[in-house]
Amino acid sequence: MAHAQTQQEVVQRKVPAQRVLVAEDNVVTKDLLEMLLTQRGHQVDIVTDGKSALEALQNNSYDVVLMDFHLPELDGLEVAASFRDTNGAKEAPRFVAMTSDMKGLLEHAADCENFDGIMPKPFDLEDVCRVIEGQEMPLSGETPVPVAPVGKDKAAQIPAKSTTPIPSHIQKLGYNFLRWPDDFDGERLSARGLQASLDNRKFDAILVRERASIDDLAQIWTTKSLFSLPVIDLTGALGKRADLDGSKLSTAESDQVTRLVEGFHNRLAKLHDDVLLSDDIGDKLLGHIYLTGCGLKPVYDAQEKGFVCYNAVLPSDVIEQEAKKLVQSEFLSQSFFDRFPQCDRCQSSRFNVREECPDCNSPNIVEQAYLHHFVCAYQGPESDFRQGDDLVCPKCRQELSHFSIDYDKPGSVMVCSTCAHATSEPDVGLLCMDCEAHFDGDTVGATDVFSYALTDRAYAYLETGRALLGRKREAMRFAELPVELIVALNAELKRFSDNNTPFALVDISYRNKSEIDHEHGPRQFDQARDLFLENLDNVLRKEDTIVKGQAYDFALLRETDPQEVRDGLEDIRTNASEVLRLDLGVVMHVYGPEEFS
Amino acid sequence: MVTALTDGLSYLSAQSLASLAALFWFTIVFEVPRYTLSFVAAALTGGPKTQSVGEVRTRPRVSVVVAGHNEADSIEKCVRSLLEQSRRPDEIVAVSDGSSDNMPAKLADMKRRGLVDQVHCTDLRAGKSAATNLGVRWSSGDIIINVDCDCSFDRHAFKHVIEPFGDPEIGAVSGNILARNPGASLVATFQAIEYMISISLGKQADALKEEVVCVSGAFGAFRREALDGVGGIDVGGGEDLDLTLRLREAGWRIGFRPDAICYTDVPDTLSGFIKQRFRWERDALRLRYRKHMDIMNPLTPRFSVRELFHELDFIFFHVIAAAMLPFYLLWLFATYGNLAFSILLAAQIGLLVFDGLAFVLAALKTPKADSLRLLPFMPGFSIFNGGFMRFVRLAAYLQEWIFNASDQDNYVPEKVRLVRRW
Ligand SMILES: [Zn+2]
Ligand SMILES: [Zn+2]
Ligand SMILES: [Zn+2]
Repeated sequence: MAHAQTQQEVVQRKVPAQRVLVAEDNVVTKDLLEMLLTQRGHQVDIVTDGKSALEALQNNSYDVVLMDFHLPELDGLEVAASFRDTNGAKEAPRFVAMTSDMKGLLEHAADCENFDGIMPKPFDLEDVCRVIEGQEMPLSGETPVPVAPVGKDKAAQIPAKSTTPIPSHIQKLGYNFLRWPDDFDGERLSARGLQASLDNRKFDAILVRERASIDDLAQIWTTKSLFSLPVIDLTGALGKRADLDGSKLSTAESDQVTRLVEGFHNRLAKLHDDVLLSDDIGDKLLGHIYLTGCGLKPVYDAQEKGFVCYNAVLPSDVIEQEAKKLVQSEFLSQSFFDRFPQCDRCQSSRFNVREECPDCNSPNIVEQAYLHHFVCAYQGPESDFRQGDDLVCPKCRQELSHFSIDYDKPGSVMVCSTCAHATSEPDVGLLCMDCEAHFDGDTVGATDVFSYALTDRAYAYLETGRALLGRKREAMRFAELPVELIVALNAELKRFSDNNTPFALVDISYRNKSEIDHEHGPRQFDQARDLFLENLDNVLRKEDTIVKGQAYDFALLRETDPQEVRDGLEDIRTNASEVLRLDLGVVMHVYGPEEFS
Repeated sequence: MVTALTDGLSYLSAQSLASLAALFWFTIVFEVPRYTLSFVAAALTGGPKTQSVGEVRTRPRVSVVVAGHNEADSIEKCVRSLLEQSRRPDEIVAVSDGSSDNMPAKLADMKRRGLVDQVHCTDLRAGKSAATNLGVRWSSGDIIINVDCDCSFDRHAFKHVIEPFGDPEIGAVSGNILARNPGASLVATFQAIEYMISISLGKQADALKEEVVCVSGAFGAFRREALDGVGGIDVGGGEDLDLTLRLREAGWRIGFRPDAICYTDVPDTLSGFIKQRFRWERDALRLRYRKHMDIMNPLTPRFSVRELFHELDFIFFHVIAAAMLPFYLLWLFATYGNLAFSILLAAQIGLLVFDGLAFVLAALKTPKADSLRLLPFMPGFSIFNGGFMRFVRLAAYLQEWIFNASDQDNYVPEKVRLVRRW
């Protein structure tokens, strides 16, 4: 979930060196892969066409073959098929296809069976590492991709054991459902699942047919874009977490499904791809809230440790953690819902709250009246006086016979049956039902629960994409950079690790893009942006590189301390913006070598 | 006036010893013995470290019981001085006696902060005796120290007050009480001197005579065995004196530690002072001659020669002395006319010498009392104590004797006064 963490894991794990054959005709991609894989200690052979690929395969043995689909001479498919024909299945390397036309590939499913995995381009460098190092295949070869064209009518035809049949009135609506567990294959997605992930617009909703825990449904959030489908729960077990409880839906109410699906579709049309395709859980959560159209609302739920769940099929603690961050970055506004005591050992809010003995914390305390015998000034609990039906003073042996003349009851006391201590004010104690930790009523921590709504800023982000915001929402991700920049960065990183030569990468975004687009047209914006970059080029030194990206632009400053750049950033910005007629709302952010390690 | 004085002096100097005795009989009979005993006591006991009777062999468990009614403002200060003791109590039990201020909340808060170990609150006021009994009922100490909310203590007060319990015959030990506010007013200053001389020095003398030392309700320590044996504290007022009498009757010896010092605020207005003393004197009389009358009756099993002597002592030096004073004055003026002033003055000068001596002794015994500051007020105190106080006492005795006035005291709740049998 946390991207930085997985990235670190990949970097730190020692993996055996692999022999890799890369068949790729694009120069930049080739260089990049070579650099990346060599740096990670693999032995890499590179060929640029299909014929040499086949030759290399026949002369050497490889663990992995990374092959572009569209190669000169022989394309990737032909190479793989030909190799398998001559060598059979034994000792074959793993074939991984690289393509930028994933959808096209999947439509001709039969072609894929010679591949063990398919990697979409432009690729994520981490994915490359994982595939090469055998930790994960983006598309499993075990499922020989039986992607028959998915017709809406066939969607509900494979009923599995112990699953709830899809009620006919829901089936009749003619939607294309992604079904759980049918279309989810344990850890990996089935082909239908993958297809839904790649093109969610062909699907209408996720139908949960078997009792599933939130963890079981984690794939909805770990797979690209699946979060954008409404979850209809046929089992009723997900409660308010699902977007619709389909377990008690009568025929007359099936229009609720229609309304839900149409609502999601309508709003999805406006959701920017930056968010839809994002891997960031915060983005996904924002997107989900946007699509539900009703905010993020807590509901009491005694099953939950925190006593609340939200209207999203995610663990409550994850939601709370992400929502907190999103409030901080002003994407969500919060309003108070309730306050719960919280165990600081296990974060549970499930407590047994009771009055207890201040000395031994036993809840076994019994209230007794105090008796005051006026004549002798003896005062004590009633049990001191009790002798059968009579009240006899333990001090003067007189019988107390008349209330308010002989004695009265000036108050009461709680006597502990466990340790015999007495107190007029018992403590309030809390016992954690999850870890049995004990807390005093006045020292136990509390946690506030909020409901959340999208802010204007969030709406702008969700509909316009990242260009609006600058990159601060998340840490710099290598794979999102233009390939040209990655190559240059790689070289700088190597110099940094070899002899500590620092560098700074400046990330440039334009806050006012949508405004300018709207008022003056996109051309005006592009001109202003080009002019800005030209100015910037003049402000910077010759050895610095400016790379123009899609939504962002970049400047790579060699042999420069990033802190110096940070300090002088304002000057650089004003100097470069000087002759501009339009205010681009330039936002610059500086990254140093540490941020790429 | 001056001529009258010189006349008086020349007259007095012309008298024989026998006729002087006839003139000053009141002073000789009622005042001189009182002082003599104090001086003897002071001479026989050296320094403040008196009555160190044996070592306390095993460390006893000490509980402090502090009961109060509407003491929200003073309770924390009091408890903090308890916690400052060099011998820290093993347990502090606080009782709110039907308080209507926020004392219960205050105590609950102090308990949470660990300042006190037990807190007990009642909704209806039961009186100091019953409230203290309740605290004792829940306390667990071998020695129970009973303190007033408005008192504060010297750092070593507890260490000293529990020392005498090494002697197994000792059932209770009284602490030494001094005035905390001697500078507040003239009345307060006089009381400061009085506390120093009569309580501090006087109790040392009493202790030496094995006479009743009233274990003060403001600061006293009790052996649990002794306290439980007599059934705890009885209905007040004067419950401290009453308890002491009953402990002695049960055969326990009572100790006094002049170095176990406790400070209390004395009334700083004359009316407040008179009200307090009326109550004290009335209670003393009521207890001794209504509740404990049979001690003096040889025909009852409670009779004891030792107690008889003590009671006679009290009757003679307190009751009769107070009762005789007006007659003495009448007789003096009737017989000598204007000369009576000179005679009284001469008597007062003589008393001043005694008082001065007592003061010096007391100051030596109780270095804590700010005696130098009190010194200029000595002559005033001498008149205040020898004259004014006697009238106050007399009025109180008369009131109690004739009207049972202590039944009106609101010190004890009405419901209790109605059923009190003495
Ligand atoms: Zn009784
Ligand atoms: Zn207990
Ligand atoms: Zn817990």
